[in-house]
Amino acid sequence: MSNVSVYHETEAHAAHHPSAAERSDNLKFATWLYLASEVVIFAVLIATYVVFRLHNPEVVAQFHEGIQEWPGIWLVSINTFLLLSSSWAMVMGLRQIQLGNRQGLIRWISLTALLGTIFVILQYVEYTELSHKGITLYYNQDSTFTDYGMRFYAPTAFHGFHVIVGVLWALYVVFNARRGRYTATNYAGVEVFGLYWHFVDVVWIVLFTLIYLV
Amino acid sequence: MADTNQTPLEDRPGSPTTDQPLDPPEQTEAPPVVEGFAAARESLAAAIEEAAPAAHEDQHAGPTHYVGNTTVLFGRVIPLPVYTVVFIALGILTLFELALAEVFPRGGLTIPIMLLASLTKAALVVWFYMHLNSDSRVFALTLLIPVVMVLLATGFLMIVPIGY
Repeated sequence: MSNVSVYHETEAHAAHHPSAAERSDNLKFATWLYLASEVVIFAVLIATYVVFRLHNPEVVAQFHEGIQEWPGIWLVSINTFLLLSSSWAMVMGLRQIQLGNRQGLIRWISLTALLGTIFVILQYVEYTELSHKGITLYYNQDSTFTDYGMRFYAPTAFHGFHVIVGVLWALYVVFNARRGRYTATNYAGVEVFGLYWHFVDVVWIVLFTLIYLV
Repeated sequence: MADTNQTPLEDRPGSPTTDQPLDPPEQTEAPPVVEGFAAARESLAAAIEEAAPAAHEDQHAGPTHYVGNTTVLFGRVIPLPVYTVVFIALGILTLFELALAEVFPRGGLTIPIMLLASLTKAALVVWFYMHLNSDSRVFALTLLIPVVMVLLATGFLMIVPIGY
């Protein structure tokens, strides 16, 4: 009897089609696995910076003095608030589609994309200002920051690239929303974009404190 | 698949009952191995249920946790969605960090305080915005395992002599 029971359970399992909720969970789990790989990449860049920071405190102190002048730290602070706001806009968009409001989703995710775009533009302005102060990606033996440039630009620019990808993804979500792809019961595509975008936000939260404040 | 379902069990290749007729179910005594397997499976299911009841329940709870218009914070009802309350908390913590960095000289106690504020902000985003407070615990492990490994590896890197 036990054999018969085991057999029927196996067959039932083989014929089982995943429900929408199970597909959503699978999609989210795949996204989390991808984010885990991103954790490792960013962690290597951040660890490199931290080790340099510990062994060269005077160089970092000079960098902090340099960014006290306008726009400096204020520009980066504005950028931080932009990214925090974009994360808030993202979850508010998710909330709207959970409530069945597709137009609300489109508005909030469009705002997310706009805030992300402004972030990237301001980061470009910041990089331009820093390059005038001698903080460059390339080796320059006359500059105090010759060893600092790569440690600074690698994590921040890599993060900036992720923001650009996120903006494109947000536009794709808006495009899908306009075509009616998401409903109050089917919004996994919005959720996985949200996971990516919030991860990018979390990385910036850490980078902002580690590089610009500490 | 339909053909397979119609094949009598005793005729299937590889079936443990191929070479011997099936006894009537009432008279069959399950072999100790099968009984042991069934018991192990039941106890494993019970252990999983006991270890992670929240994860099991929340997978079927739906999005109702996130769509409310109010938030209960320290016993008080705030007329804002939880996402907005978290956003305000993130803004206040960022202003606190900035004030600390601008008012006090860098170094000493300000560094661990700012790092703690930063980690709190990151935890708020992961916990509420990325829904680790209600999603499966497996997702949390997916994030935690590489973070812990990286912290251990970085700690190891710190104790390596730099040589200059």
